[in-house]
Amino acid sequence: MHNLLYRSNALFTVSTTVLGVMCLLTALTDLTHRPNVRLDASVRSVDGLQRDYGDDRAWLSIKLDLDLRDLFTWNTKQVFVYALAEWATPRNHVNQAMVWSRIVQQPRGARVKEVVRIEYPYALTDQGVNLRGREYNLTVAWETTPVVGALHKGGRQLGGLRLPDDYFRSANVPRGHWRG
Amino acid sequence: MDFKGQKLAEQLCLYIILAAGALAFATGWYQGSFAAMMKVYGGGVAVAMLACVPDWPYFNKQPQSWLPSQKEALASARPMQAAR
Amino acid sequence: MNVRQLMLQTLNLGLIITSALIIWKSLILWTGSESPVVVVLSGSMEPAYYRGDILFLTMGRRPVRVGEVVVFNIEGRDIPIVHRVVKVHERRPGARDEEVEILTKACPTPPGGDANYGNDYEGQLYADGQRWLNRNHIMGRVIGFLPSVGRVTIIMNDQPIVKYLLIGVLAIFVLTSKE
Repeated sequence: MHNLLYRSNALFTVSTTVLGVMCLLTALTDLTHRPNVRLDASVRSVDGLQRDYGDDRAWLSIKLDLDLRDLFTWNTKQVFVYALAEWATPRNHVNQAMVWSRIVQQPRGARVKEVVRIEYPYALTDQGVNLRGREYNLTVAWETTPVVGALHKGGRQLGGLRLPDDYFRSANVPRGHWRG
Repeated sequence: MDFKGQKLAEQLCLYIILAAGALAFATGWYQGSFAAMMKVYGGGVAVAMLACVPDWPYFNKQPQSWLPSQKEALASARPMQAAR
Repeated sequence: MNVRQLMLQTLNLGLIITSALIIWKSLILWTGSESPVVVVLSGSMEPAYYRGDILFLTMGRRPVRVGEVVVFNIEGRDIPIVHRVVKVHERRPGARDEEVEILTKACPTPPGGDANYGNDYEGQLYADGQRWLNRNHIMGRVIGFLPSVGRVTIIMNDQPIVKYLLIGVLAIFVLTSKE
């Protein structure tokens, strides 16, 4: 018989189904979005190359000119933008280290035009002492977290970079510990 | 709630929620806000709940005409037997 | 209700449960991840992921790279953790120890945030003596997101009585319904 409980149950079923469809549609709206972003980066200077307890470590200053405003849609919750360095050594054929990152939650924070340095908690460290004269890439990349749906990402690689041939440090780079 | 009323309740529930969903999606899309969409939808579901779940008078407009119960039928049939 | 009806209801229930299991196992095979849908249980990835959000994972054969958000298990911890990869050191294929070593860290909080700021090794998240993650610790990487739906499971985790109540009520409904 058609009682209150039955009607409430039917209402609940219909409303959650329609809600599900709405979420699906929202997620699908991302497919039509072709973002146009600007990812310009360059290594302004290598500030130091030290050996710290048996592992090499490099310090860089990176000049960033990023414009990620076009990534934001009504379905965007945040954009995570980051920079990473990548190199190959005899021991490891792929080494990657994130050297900078930022969470952007509003489009107005999506323009980054500054020089950043590799700071705690990030470090460009090798497993071993293979960084002198090492060639490396710098990649600037982004990943969106949607309100509902699929994550998207993109990036741009800057290749052909090379670390100095000898250990050195500038004033604001801490001295490495050679033992270990 | 009579049978016609039940059907009305089910249809009302379905159409109100579908309309709320469509309206909410359009609102959210044009406002560029997911939160707006959720608020409109929540309002729509509340309207549907109010309109369909309680036993309102408009669900009882066409009551079923039941046949009289067995006792009444026997009571009206007995005078005929006595007359024979 | 007679015996035949009871048996029918039980079979129905069994059918529902096994259909759900089939769908789950197929998802596991399709995505290559041992748990393709997870609920976020910690607040360490805020403001991206909050407790109760749902994540869709895939594993595949592609190598783990920096920037991906991965869900991983640590020996001695019963719940999986969701963090972002910040370092990768991958051995040459064919080397004796052919492993990927991955370091992860929680989402960086805005300036002035709390102590979830260093990488996971420094935060003592890994097991004793563990410096890196390997590929076999990783359950999958995040490809999709659904907000808040998982809050129900968090309530059920924190108050197990709710879980038993819900299952009991559901079972009663299924067994006594006439469909």
